[in-house]
Amino acid sequence: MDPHSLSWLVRLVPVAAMAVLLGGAVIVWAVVLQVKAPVLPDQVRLLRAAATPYEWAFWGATGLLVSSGVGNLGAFGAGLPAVSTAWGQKLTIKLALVLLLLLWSLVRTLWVVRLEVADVLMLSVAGHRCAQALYGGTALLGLAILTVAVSLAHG
Amino acid sequence: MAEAERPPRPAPRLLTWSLGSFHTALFVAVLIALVYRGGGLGNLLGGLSTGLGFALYAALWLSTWWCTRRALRASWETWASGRVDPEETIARSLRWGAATGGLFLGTLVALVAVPWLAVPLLLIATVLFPRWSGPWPRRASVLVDWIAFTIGVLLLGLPLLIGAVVGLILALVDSLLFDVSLYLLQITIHGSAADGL
Repeated sequence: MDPHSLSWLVRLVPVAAMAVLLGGAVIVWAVVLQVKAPVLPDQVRLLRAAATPYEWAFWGATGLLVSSGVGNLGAFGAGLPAVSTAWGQKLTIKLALVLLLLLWSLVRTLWVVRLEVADVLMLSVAGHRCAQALYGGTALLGLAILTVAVSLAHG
Repeated sequence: MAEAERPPRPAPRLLTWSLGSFHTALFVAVLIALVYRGGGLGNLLGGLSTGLGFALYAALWLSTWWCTRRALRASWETWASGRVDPEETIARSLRWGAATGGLFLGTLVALVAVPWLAVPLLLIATVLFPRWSGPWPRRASVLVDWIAFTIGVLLLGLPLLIGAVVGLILALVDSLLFDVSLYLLQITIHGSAADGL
């Protein structure tokens, strides 16, 4: 592969992965918000039909984002700014947000898996709030990470 | 067939995929954060190209996914129900964490020796293999497990030791998050007292 195509691919992969991660969370969150609690069987099926493919895509996108992030840090080599610099503090914040997103997201995915395994047909009012919090939280954390990442990219 | 002889049900594929991906991403992110705080990240990653970085991550991802799948095979139903045996969990996490360390190095050696194997290896492992059933895939599974442990032992046990420690820590994190998700499922079905449901 020529250097130009490789450089284009290196930029495309994390952008596409973030689009899947953030866009997917917003879509599922919107689906959750438009159903009323307690959620009835037809709407639960709709919710599961939106959430399950997203969970598959989310973990694939996360793997691509983390691996490309490692590669990008590697490109700095010994010139990587120290923790004490403004750039270093932003990177520390980004890493903390990534760790929080990973923990939050495993709870969210386990909740979806449990809905499938237990064949849950109705969601209580608390269950509806839980779905809102899980997908809304994912979207907000994704947005926060994107904001810090853009700031890091521009120095 | 008697209940005691019933073979374990395979874990849901989404559970295996998400846990394998979570373990890989969490391990790498924590490692990066710790080394960066210590000031040695630039030197550690220096010379790493994006392609090489992705190949290393893919090898770790594949190894972790495989061993998570094997660890969950007989245990996910007890995790799902919240009836976890702590001794069994510790033994399982040490064993499969160690296997991940060996398998990661084995995959890495295979990819360096024969780079064109990367795509077929990933496809077979993640897309085709889980759909196969019968004695041959079972024998292939045991063979991969043996390769993982043998490579670890040949390298003086270091990858096994690191993998075992990481596996134990990740099992504790998993255990906590499984409990949180079980609580969320319970309020999803029954509601909380505040809802009056």
